[in-house]
Order: sequence, then C-alpha cells, then structure tokens
Amino acid sequence: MTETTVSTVDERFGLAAQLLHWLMAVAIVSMLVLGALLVGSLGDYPMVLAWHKAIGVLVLVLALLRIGNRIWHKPPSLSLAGPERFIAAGSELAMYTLFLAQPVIGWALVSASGVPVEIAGLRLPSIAPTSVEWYGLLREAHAWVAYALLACIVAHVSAVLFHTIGLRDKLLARMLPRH
Amino acid sequence: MFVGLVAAGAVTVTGLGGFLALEGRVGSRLTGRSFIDLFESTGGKFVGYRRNHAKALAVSGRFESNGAGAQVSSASVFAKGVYPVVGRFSVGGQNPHQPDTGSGQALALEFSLPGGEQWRTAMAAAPVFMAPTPEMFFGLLSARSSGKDATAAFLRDNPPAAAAQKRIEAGPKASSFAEASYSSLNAFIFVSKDGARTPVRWRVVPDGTTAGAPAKNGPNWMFDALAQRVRRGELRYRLLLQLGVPGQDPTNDPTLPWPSDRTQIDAGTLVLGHAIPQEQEHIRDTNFDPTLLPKGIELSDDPILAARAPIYAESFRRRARETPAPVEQFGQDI
Repeated sequence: MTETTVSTVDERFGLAAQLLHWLMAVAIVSMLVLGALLVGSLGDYPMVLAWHKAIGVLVLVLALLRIGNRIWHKPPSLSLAGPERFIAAGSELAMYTLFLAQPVIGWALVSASGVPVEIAGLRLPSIAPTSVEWYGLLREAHAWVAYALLACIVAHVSAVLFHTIGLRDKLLARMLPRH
Repeated sequence: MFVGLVAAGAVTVTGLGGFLALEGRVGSRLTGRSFIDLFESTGGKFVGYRRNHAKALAVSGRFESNGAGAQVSSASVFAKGVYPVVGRFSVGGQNPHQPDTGSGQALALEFSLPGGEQWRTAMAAAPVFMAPTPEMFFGLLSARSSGKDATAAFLRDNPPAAAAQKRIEAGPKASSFAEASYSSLNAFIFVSKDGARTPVRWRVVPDGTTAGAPAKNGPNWMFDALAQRVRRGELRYRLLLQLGVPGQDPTNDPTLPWPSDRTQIDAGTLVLGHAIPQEQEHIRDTNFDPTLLPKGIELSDDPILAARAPIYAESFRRRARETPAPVEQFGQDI
C-alpha cells in the first residue's frame, strides 16, 4: 500500500493523499477568501455566510478523511535535513490541527449564538451551549485560528515554491501524479 | 535561488495583503465595523450593551396563529397553532440610560417554531426606513452626528433620504409602546407550499389596546408605563401581512411605501407579557438578526435588509467579549 520502496528522489504521496491535499487546498483557500469577505462585506453578507458554512462542513469532512489517510498510509520520507526537517514536520502538524479545529470552532460558535445550525439546507445539531460568553470566546478564537491558518498556508506555499523554483529539488513533484 | 525568493515573497505579500483587503481593513469600503464604529463614536460606547437600541424592556408571550398566513407562506409559524415568542421593546440610540422622548419605539421578536426553527425580526414604529441603501444610511448618520446644517445639506443632496424623512414625520405618532404600530421596514419573500413567491411587508398593530398616554414622570416614563402595563396583564397585537404585487411594488427600497389598498392578511394575535429573569437574560443575549428566517420566508433584494445582518453581528461580536449589562428593570417603585 505504501510507496516506501520508491527511490528517495522520486518519492511521492499516494493518490488518495494527493487528491485530499489538492481538494483541501482549494477548499481552504476558498474558505479564507469567504471568511475575509464576511468581515469585509455588507450587502453580500447573508450569501457569503451561507457559502462559508457549507464549505466549512466540506473542510471538516475532508480533514477527517485526510487524518485517517495520514494515519493508515505512511507518507514518503522527507528529503529535507536538520532544522528544515523539524520546521516542515512542525508546520504539517500545525496545519492539520488548525484545519481540523477551525470548522469545529465555527460550528460551535454558531451553536453558542443560539441560532439553529442550518447548513446547505440541512439541520445539524448544536455542539455548544447557548451562551453569549462562549460565543465571544469562540468568535475570537475563530479569527485567531484563521490568521494562524493564513500564516501557515502562506509559509507553506512560499517554502515549496522556494524549493521548487529556487533550489530546483523537485519538492513539489511529491504532491503531483507521476506523468 | 533568487527567482525562488521572489516567488516566495510574491506569494506571501499576495496572501497576507489579499486577506486584509478582502476584510476591508485597507481602503474606505463600508463594513459592519464602519457602522458600529460610527455608533460608538457619536452615541458613546456602553460596555456590555448592544451598540444600538440599547435601552429596552424584555417581554415574553406567544403568537396565536389563525392559519390565514399559510396561503402565502409554508412557514410553520403560519400554520394554525400557538408558538412561544420572546422579545424586547426598545428605543433607538446607543445610551441605555437616555431619557425617554416619546418616540423611536421599536420591537424585536424571536418566535420558537417546531423542529427548533426560529424566526427573528426587528421592527420599528415608523412607516418606512430612513434611506434606500447602506451607503446613504451611513452618510445620513454621519451628517446627523455633525449637526443640523450638515444634515440639511445631506438631505438636500440625497432626495430619497429627504422623502423618507417626510414620510416618517407624517406617519402616525404614538407616545407609548402599547399604542405604537411596528413595521418590518424591509420587504421579504414569502414562499407558499406550491412554490408561489409573494413579496410581503408586515406590521404588528395594537389589538384594541387603549392604555392612554402615559404620565411623563421621570426619565424612564415610557418604559415605566410599559413595565407596569405588562405586569397588570398581557398586551395584544395583530400581525398583518401586506402583500406586494411582484413587478409593481418595490422590494429593494425600504423608503418607498406600498399602496395602502394592497391585500392584507391578518395572520393572528401576538400576545406579550412580563418576562421572568431567565427569559430577560436570554433576550439580552440574543442578536435579533432580521435575516434569521424560517423555511417559507426568504430575503428580498432589499440592500438594507442584507446589510443589517453584518451590522447586528458586529454589535453582537463586540458585546460578547464584554461583561453583559445588567437586565433593566423599569417601573418598580412608582
């Protein structure tokens, strides 16, 4: 099932991992755009909020699938060395934590505000007590996690581009299908 | 190497800058924050209170639906039955301790419907809204905070706002909460069981309540009279749905009234009475966002209606991080 036998230079993530990675990349970048728009929009707010909630549920589902896939399928070994290896592993852990936590916090803050949790026409259960104090804390946490996620993703994309274009070490190819 | 650094730098700048731009933190785009900042800077910041309509009395009661509304909306609230309602009578303004003037009454309601559904509405005792767009409303509020001359100049330059002001001034005046009529201000789209879509504005009007004008004793005379009134017994109102004609009656401009001869449906009786402390706290901690609708009622293309959601949300966000204000008690020792 794993691809550990492939030579180091040519090691790639499995197809499921790649698919989940790129689907989540699109979903999370869309989420950051929609989240920022939510803060910055006036007339489009109700529509943006509806999309934000729907894609949020999608991110949560993808996050769970991805964590499952990450546990069951060993990823290819890292070609990086020293402190860079440590940073890469740490940022991976940070991103998994953040993209799992963020939809749950969002769901909880809607619950705490006391409104029915309705997403894409479906009713979901409330996962937090109705409480303005809880809402205040969760709403603030949602903003900070969004900024942390933004920082991680910008750093992640910048680092991969620097490796691929600057160092020409084919780092990006690990996340691309063999052609 | 160099190209890699440039690419990485470009991604960083675009990502962070793009996010801040979309949030409206750079530039002069109007957001929910703009309105709440304006309220705080002109009316004062009152910690723990909502940033507008801060002075209020909580009420609790029910809606006795007679089933007549079901012909235009499949919403459960219009099926014949009795549904719990909580709400708050308030006056416009940021200061929760401002003296009563006998005007500016408003009524917000939260209907609890079967299956955990809710319907929230925030109405005002005015025939129409003050401006057709959020931008013009913001301009009007800014002008008002700058004084009489600035307001007059603004109204001269913005005829829709001037016309709205005339309609509001010519509207019926009630000097008590019990005798005022409350309007949805915005238009909504009611969707019937067979999918027919009807533009609707609604009003909550007194059902034969003749309390008489309250005595103007003390700074809270209007709230004191209301509190004493609901302790004596329940207030009764009718919920009237005004049906607009699609294509003729504007849904995207809350300053324009619809012809008074439009079909009107009496959907039932709203009964409001004293709220116990637990309900009062729940009402204090509720954001009466008028875009929170049950299935069978939808938003119209009214830009003011859409804009109310982020403005109310920003007020709620700010006060949720503060110690909640004590629940107001009125009319106790008179």
